[in-house]
Amino acid sequence: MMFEKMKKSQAWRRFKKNKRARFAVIFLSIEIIACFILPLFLESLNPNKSDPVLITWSAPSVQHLLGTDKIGRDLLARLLYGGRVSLTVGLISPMISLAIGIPLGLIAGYYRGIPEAIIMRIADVFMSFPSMILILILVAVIGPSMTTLILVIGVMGWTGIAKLIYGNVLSIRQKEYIESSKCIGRNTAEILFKEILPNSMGPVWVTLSFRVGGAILQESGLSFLGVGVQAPQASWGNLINAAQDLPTLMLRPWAWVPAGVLIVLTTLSFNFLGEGVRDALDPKMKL
Amino acid sequence: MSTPLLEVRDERINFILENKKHVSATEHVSFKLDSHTTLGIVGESGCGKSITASSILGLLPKGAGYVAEGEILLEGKDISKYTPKQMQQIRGKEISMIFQEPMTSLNPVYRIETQMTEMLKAHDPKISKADAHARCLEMLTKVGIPAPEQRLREYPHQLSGGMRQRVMIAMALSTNPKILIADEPTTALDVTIQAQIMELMIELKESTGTAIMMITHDMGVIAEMSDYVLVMYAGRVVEYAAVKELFRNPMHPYTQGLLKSIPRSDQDSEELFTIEGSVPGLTEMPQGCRFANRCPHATERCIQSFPPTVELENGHQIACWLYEESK
Amino acid sequence: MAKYMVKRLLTIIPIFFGITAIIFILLNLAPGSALDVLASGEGNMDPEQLQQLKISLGLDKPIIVRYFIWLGDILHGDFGRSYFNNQDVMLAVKLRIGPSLLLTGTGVIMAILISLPLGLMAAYKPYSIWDKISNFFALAGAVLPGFFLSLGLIYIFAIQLKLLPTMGMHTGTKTDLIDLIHHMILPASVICFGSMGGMIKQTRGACLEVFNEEYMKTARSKGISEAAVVIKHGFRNALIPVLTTVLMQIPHIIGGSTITEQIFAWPGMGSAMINAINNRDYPMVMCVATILCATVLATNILLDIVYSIADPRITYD
Repeated sequence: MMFEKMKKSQAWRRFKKNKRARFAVIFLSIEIIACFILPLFLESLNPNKSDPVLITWSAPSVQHLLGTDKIGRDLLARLLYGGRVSLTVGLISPMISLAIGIPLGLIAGYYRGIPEAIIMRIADVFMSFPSMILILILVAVIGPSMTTLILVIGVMGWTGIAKLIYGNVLSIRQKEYIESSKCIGRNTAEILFKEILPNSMGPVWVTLSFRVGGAILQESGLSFLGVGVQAPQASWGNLINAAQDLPTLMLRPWAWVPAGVLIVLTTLSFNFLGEGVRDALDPKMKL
Repeated sequence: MSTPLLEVRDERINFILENKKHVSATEHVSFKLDSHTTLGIVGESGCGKSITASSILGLLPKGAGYVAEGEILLEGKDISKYTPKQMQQIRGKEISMIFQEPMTSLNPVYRIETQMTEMLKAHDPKISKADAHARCLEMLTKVGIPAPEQRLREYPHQLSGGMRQRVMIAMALSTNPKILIADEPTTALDVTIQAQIMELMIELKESTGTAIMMITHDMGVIAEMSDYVLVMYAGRVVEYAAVKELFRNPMHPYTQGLLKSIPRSDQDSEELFTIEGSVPGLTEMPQGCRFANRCPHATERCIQSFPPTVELENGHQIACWLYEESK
Repeated sequence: MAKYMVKRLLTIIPIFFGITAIIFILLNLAPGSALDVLASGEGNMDPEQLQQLKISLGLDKPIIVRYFIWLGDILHGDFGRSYFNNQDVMLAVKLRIGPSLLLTGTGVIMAILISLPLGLMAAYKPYSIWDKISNFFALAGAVLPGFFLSLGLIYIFAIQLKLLPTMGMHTGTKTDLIDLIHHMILPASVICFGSMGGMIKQTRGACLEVFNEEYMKTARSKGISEAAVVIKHGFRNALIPVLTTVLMQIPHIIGGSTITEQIFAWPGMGSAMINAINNRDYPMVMCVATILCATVLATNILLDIVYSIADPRITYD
């Protein structure tokens, strides 16, 4: 126990020393406050209200720091509300991947044999199927919306988690304390969830952080294609979509560049966060 | 006095740590090796015996370790200053090496013949396929591998550990090197296989005249195989003597401890002897004798400064303050 | 080996039926049925006409029966006709598959040619400039969305510098190679960039692991050249895991790159898929999905075969 505690405090110290991780924590905190809390207090930040004076594509001004869009809506407000979408999809869909991937990985690794063969074979097929096309089909079937995106991206992400857990279970299984748990008569579920799972969570947290970045990229890509979050709801992807219109691309960078920069910075932060956790827990971890 | 086949003079190997600091892993290591003899280098893991062996072939881990001082003289020529291209001519031709893990020291994706031929070709680019094949067969037969034709076509994973080590020896000796460096060649093997491999090496040494440098932590292997023994502790040579002399008259307290800790069947002792304490780490090397913190005879002087090496008339060398007076 | 392959093929057949059945059923459950799409194109239809259309399309039968009818048809190479323009779907796909292969194939091959040597060098010389470059691309590939990069490239190279075209495969009626290459540079670079990150990471990791193996030391002790040690012994062994990443790109090459094709108006499978989904042209979606499914399964078998060739320790008994 002492040792565990010591390891934790050491990991925490290493994490705090990591400059990239510190950047990530600060950036994401600011972003979450700006997207989720700020609009509650500033009425001017309404993403759906058209400005009656400045109707179409106004340039940045004091009232509208990032200008307005085609129908006079405040682009800064839309950017922040788009951030809500991206962060929500990014944070929730990996949880779905976890909810599917962890049990399947545990089952495959612990029971071996037929369950292992079936689960891993399906994972192989899933992994080599171009995910974009599978997602497109699912979106077409369920109908595009934010909920659909969360579900679809979450479901598609189970393979990586399952494989990771599976690999960990295999290596932990060999260890003696699992044998001794069996000897003192603990049942399978107890061994799985109390011994094996906690011991393989380190790499899972790291992957999770990377998956958040991945989910944000996928969400923005789908919204960009027009099969994700639907108008009038704003998202970073559909804000950038406006740049498929040549005059916007050429003349109004403020309308689409900020959304792109935020996607990059946000995914970058989640990657840094993942790296920070990885290096703090075990610098030799292969992820 | 003629030039020895191999002489290492006052060698210091440095390692570069993660924080870019350079620390010495071995210091003032000197020894000689003549043909037809076997020199055993003994010490516990981390004492610097393996890296000393690696340094002779210029195989220290790239960017992490290097020879900082001293000379490595092969027939009088300092090969530690050789360029990588020149070293290629030494490796596998003048000096061959075999390793501890026969399971992993052969490349899993190539057939035995491919791996053996590669070495022959490296030093004789004009060798014909048939000649190379014949040489491989000859060597496998020599190291006692049954059905060598078939073995040559097989991959390493199809061979047992003992067979793989035989293949390694066959390969190492196929170019008739002057020196064979064996880095713990029997440690990873079963006891019966160990004995066979040692017997094979003794036999081959006698028939080919190849000098052997035997790195081990096992005093039993030393007794079995060596003519001379070099005892290393924490990066320094502490004692050097002919094997019989060393076993009869171990002088350094560390050597005495090592010998006492061998389990013996002819004595009825209750407990196995152990040397108390542990080896100091690379970054915490004391300025005095490195064994002082574990030595039963340690005095103030041992902690203050490292003892000079004393050589007795019979060639027995010791680095210990206990023998300073006897000089 | 032969026995294993037969077994493997046998397990793949139910997977193929399973996946296609699931997609078929899902598509038929989707809101906005094909009927609505067709009917809306014909103006107002009375219920009787609608019923006739339903029967003529076979939509009155139970879904499982329809799946088996569809299965029977595709075994004859008949993927049906597009709901959208009544074209033979297979014909449309045949027209689309070439451009996809060309564009995504070029991008992926570029990525392989850059990533593998870069990953190798990064592992060989940690902390060197190679290591830094590969770290940069690995990270950039994971955080920079392809569509944003595409727009940026269009902005710089097409709009500001006026160097490269941004739409389609050819300018007007030109069909020469130079023109085609001109059209490919931007989209192929985006695809290359997108594939590079993962490949570099994988190659670097695999090489780092192999370089620590004991047989590398053995190889060096033989007196062969450093290049031979690194390539013949190091890279050759690292190749085994790297091949997975590379071969897994095959379905991607066949399926095309959806977003990139859409942005650059490239007439490939990816943009066909998006159009088909937007038009609810289910025979087309089904056709693309089936081809991809077959490709994915074939790729998995190919992986097994390539593994057993690349690594003699793997035998399938």
